[in-house]
Amino acid sequence: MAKVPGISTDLGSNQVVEVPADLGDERSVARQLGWGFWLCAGWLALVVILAVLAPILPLADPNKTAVGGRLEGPRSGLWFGADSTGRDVFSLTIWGARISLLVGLIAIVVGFLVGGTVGILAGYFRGWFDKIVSFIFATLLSFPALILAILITTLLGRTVFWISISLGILAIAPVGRLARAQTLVFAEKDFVVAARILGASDRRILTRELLPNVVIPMSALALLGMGIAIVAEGTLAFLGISVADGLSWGKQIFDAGSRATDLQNGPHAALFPIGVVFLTVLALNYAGDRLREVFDAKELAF
Amino acid sequence: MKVVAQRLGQMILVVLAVTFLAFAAMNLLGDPLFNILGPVAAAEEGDPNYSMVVEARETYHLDDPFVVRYGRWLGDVATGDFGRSFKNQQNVRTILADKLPVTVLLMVYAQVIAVVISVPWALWTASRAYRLGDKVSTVVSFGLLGIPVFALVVVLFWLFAVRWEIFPTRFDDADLGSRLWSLFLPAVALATPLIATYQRLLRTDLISTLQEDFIAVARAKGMSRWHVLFRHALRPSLFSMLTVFGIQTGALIGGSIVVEQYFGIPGIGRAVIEAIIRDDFPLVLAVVVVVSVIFVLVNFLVDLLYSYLDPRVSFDG
Amino acid sequence: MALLDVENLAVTFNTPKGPVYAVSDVSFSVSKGEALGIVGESGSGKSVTVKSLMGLLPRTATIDGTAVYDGFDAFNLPSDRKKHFYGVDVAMVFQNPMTSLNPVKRIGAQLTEGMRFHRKLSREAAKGRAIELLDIVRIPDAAKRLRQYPHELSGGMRQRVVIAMALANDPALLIADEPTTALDVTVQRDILDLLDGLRRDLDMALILITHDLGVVRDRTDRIVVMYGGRLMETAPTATVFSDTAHPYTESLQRSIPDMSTPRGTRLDPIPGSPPDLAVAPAACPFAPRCAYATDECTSALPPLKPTPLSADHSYACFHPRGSAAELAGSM
Repeated sequence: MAKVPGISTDLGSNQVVEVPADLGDERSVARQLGWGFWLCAGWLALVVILAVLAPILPLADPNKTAVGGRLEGPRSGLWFGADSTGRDVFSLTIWGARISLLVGLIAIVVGFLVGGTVGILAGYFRGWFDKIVSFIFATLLSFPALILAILITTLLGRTVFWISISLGILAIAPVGRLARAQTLVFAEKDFVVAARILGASDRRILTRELLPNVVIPMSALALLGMGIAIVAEGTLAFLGISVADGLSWGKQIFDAGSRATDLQNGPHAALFPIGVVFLTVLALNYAGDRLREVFDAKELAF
Repeated sequence: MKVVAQRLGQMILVVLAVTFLAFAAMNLLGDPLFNILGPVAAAEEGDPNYSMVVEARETYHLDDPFVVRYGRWLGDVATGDFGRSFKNQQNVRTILADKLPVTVLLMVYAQVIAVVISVPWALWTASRAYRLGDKVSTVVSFGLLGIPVFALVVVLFWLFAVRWEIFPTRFDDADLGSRLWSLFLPAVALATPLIATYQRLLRTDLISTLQEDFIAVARAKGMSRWHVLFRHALRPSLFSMLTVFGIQTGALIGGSIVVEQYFGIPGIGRAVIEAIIRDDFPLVLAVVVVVSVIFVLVNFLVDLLYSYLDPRVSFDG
Repeated sequence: MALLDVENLAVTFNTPKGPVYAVSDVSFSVSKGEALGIVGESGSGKSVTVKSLMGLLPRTATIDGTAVYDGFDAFNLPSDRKKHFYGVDVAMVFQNPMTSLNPVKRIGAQLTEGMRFHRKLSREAAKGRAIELLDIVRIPDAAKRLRQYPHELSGGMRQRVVIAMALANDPALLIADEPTTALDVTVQRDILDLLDGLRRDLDMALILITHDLGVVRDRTDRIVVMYGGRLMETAPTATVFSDTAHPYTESLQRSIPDMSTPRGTRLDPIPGSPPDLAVAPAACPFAPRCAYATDECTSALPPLKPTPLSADHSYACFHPRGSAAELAGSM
């Protein structure tokens, strides 16, 4: 019996679930991504803009204590209220965004550039280079990530730059492994084999045939990766071992949320930054997911 | 059996590499002498404290080349001797024996909670795929995935220990009951991302399995929905979730560091972070070894479980 | 008294792209111990018809018409009756034996679960009955088989197990949906003979679904021919072959290879392709491929009419063949 497209898995009916998206979806990419995507993009844009413009915005000095009453609740002029030392939570959150976002961005860039390159090369050239690289990846990946992060950051130092590099190093293995896997898939495809038969040099094949095809799915992953990096930095900050003297989200949340009495009297100091972190990570995850769906489906055209 | 040996060999190699990396990292992090002796380490010849320096150098074999020291340490570990912590000379093995159980309890607790919640949830959503309940669940699941553990612990603590005083605010070691009760919130914090992950994976595989002929055959035999879901659809669908189960052990270790630190649980996670900050090599290295071995063991068990679940897969893969 | 009486059955699927009329106005009946053959190509609606009887259609399907089983409305069974109906009164054998069995469950478990659920048999009793069933379907070494997994059995043996499973609770009606299509030719006949023998020995009614007229030739009492979701012809088996009325049935016969066909004769496939079921039925579905079609055929639905020779033999065609041709008066 021919399978009839429909929805739901009524037990026993062998139905194909969900009519799949048309491969030849005529709508523009913007519409395919969906309103959820653009909502997330909007939020992310807002956070980034506020973070970048922080120095010139009319915000209270985040380090200045006693701007508001101790654990004072939100009011006009003090949108997120004040924390246990009277600092402006809203201002803290925005200034914290600067560090968290910056670290996340640099980490991902480093991770993707290095990891991506090594992964692609390993997947293309194979041989002993690939064996060594794969082994290194496997080793790095069997390290509990947080312990590795702590080790590396302790080693390299506690500045924004070095923390970013540390997290970037952490990203190399997972990204590299993905890049390698993608490359392996593509290297076998006909058009690459054809190019090789036609005598194209390795370099040409890598840059003209492989790179564009591997980069596209990886870009979608970059957003997800940023989310992970931000959480990683937040975790380090929460534990007190991120940027020295820096006030990123993690530290802010720890300061505001680690004492029961503070939470009792003024949970807002912790909940607002938590909300912002959550929304930001969620937005990155969702946007990355949507990108992956839209661009993966397009890939099938091969 | 040959494949088993090969797999085991591979894993041992990885564990060795991991420990080597850790050893290298720790030795580059600073002067072990300083960590043992403090400022006294700067003592020069002629200084009365210099004898302490010499003694420390000897006891810890600090003058030997790096590789030799690694080899010696490895040998010690193989015989169960993890050395002494730089801080107050405590036997590392004792520290481990003292703190490891709590962490393991926490991790197992979290996995149990995760499985107990995610499996029924996945069954429920798979049997109603794409209808309203499933759509809502997908959103909730996605949201849960994105919550960082450090934020989650604060929210959970605030809600359930501070605002509505259901759970205690600190770890209670009195007996197993109070341990489980006071570890509940920490375990839930750890379990939450797992719940979401497992539910999503299991649901996907279930939906796929539910379209197979043998499900229709079972329904045609008049078996009830419940029976078909639990006793026909579930087992063949567990593989992705099982794979991730093993891998998640690594994530759990990281998560437990945060959770232990925040809730003040005297486990190995908290101990190791303090140790890293203090450059306390013996303890850090011991933890790295133990953690790697646990990780390897768990994945090995997962492999065994595969062959039990699917009779078509023999253990030799 | 008919065991199963289906009247004016219509099944429509409500898909996101519009309704699909999988079955329209199909009627037939099966008596106790009788064998009915439903013949048609893929997409003719034959599987959907029986799936509607077995409650295996998805929520997107709308069912019209009636099906009366033993006095009960098969589409609206009271819940306590429904719980022990499928697999007990009516059982079904599916097409693909390779996928009909749960790969991670032992044969024994799959054989006994129905018995234990419906008839509350104890484990020993069920096991005993399972061995009996395996003997009935002629699988050697029955006791050993119970502990085996499906992948340890060949396709033919698996299909026998599936049949055994269907027989577990002594159904009065067995539906076999293309039970041999996925099997080797050599095995096909064995399975069909098995079904035939079982039917006679157990006095069980059988609905045999196939795309191959040859399969139902000597093994059924009655034949129903379907095309495009509609009934083309229905008659006692012998009559279908001796006095073929519908052009489609005629074409089907011509495409059966026969040992007596002289060597080198070309098989006569039916040109064209199956109709689009998304179009509401308004004309004869076979018309586009029919050699005798006229304008009338593409503009109106031919009604079901009996032939002059036998009231038991009906066809839906404006230009029938055989005895009905004279009555219709046109070629």
